[in-house]
Amino acid sequence: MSSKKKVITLRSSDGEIFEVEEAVALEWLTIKPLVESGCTDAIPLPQVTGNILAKVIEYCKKHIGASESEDRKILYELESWDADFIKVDQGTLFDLIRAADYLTIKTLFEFTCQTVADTIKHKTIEEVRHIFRESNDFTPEEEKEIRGKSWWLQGL
Amino acid sequence: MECEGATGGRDVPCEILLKILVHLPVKSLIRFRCVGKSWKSLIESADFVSAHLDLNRRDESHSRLLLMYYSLESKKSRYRLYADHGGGGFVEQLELEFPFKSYDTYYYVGSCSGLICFSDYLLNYLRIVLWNPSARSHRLVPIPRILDSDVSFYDVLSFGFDEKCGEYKVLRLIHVYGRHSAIVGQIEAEIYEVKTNLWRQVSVIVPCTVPHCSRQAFLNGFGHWIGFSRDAPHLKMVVMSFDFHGETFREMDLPDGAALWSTYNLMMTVHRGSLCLIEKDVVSGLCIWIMNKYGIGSSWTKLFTIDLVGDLGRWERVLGFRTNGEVLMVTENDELVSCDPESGKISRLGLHGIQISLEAVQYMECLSLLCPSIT
Repeated sequence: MSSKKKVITLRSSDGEIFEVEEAVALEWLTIKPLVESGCTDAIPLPQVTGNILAKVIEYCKKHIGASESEDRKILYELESWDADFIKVDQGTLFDLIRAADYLTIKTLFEFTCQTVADTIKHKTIEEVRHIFRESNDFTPEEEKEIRGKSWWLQGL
Repeated sequence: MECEGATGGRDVPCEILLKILVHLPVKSLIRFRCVGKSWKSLIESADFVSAHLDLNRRDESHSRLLLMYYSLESKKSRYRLYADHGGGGFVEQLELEFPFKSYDTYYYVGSCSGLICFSDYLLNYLRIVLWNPSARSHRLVPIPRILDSDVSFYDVLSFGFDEKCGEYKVLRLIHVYGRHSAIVGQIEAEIYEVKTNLWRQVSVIVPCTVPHCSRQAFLNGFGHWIGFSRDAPHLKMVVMSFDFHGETFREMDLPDGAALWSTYNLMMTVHRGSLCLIEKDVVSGLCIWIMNKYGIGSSWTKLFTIDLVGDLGRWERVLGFRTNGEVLMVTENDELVSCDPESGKISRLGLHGIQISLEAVQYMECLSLLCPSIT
């Protein structure tokens, strides 16, 4: 093995160029075959903007190797780093989910999905509709019936 | 998957929405069916229900116990949910209402993957019900085949989960007996599947006679009972297992050193992912055995022994284990206590219930039985 770490070049949808270590890029299953084939050109990522790609790379660089660690201190530190990392606005959070899904980065995808779930868990129906831009397509009777079936939730 | 097109302004595709919502607790999911039609059909779809169940089954941090018992004070069966925090905290979260009425009482059959199975004692155990306490959903199982009235028989029921197919099943073992209570002929097996809502006969040889009182222990897709091998020339007590996926039986040896004189002093359960045998011996006390390597009879190891009589009286029954490894037991005075097997320290949990009626069930959230059409 060469001592110099191999670097992969990536190009975001808005033309920004990023360089990542091969080890990081290999975790992204969507581009893994390209990386393995020894591609030296910049890999175009037409569905990810530069600012999101920068966040994705930041997350993966921090996590490489650390997630598998059994050292409690490292895992605890990683957890608090994650908590800071994910303090972003809703738009960015959803963009990160889409990017993680597109690039097939399992850890980031699970983490961002869990974050959205934690955020909406206690929200009202109306708030959830607003977040997901979902419109109420039930008739008042239908909605009343569904709500009626979950009467017991009120006591919780 | 029943999900049409993009899901609104944020264009979160249905597959991604599923991956987000699957992390939500049942309470939120039941509420969020009101968000819109696409959300309702997604949350109620079989794919979603099983993805949600898979995720919850993999999460081992579950630390809630449902305690079920008959209370003399209130003269009714009670179902109380407790959070079992490792460090000794045992806090009641809420009381649940059991959705079925009985003239007598429902007998606990077993529980797995978020559902609990009961049968009605008064109706000769033929009325079987399934309950999902987390989603407050339930189902009355169709009455199984009724045998001719001149045949004497008893049923052994078991409830399990076929992990490969994501399917809940009830197993019924029909023991027909003649004079002197000897079992006559083959033991018949019948299976009820939640998905089809039907009973069917299974043509498989049941190698053991299972006493009516034998309790089931469910582990990794297999049900286990203490039974008597039908092949052995002498009365031989064994563990009989049933594979809820392949629908086959198997025999395994019990520990060599255990006092195998009656099925009444033995109970099968699960301890930290291993098959566990609790042996109540008048001389040595309560012995807890663990099968270290699943299926290997020689791997039984005695984990610890607890004196039969403590400060609070005599231990009548073991209900199971807590997340911190302590043993949940009932005293002869119908009091629930927790015992640290290492130090022998006993903590009172502030709950009284008739000791034979007390059961402690691992509580897991799932959406099963929420809609009549899906499991």
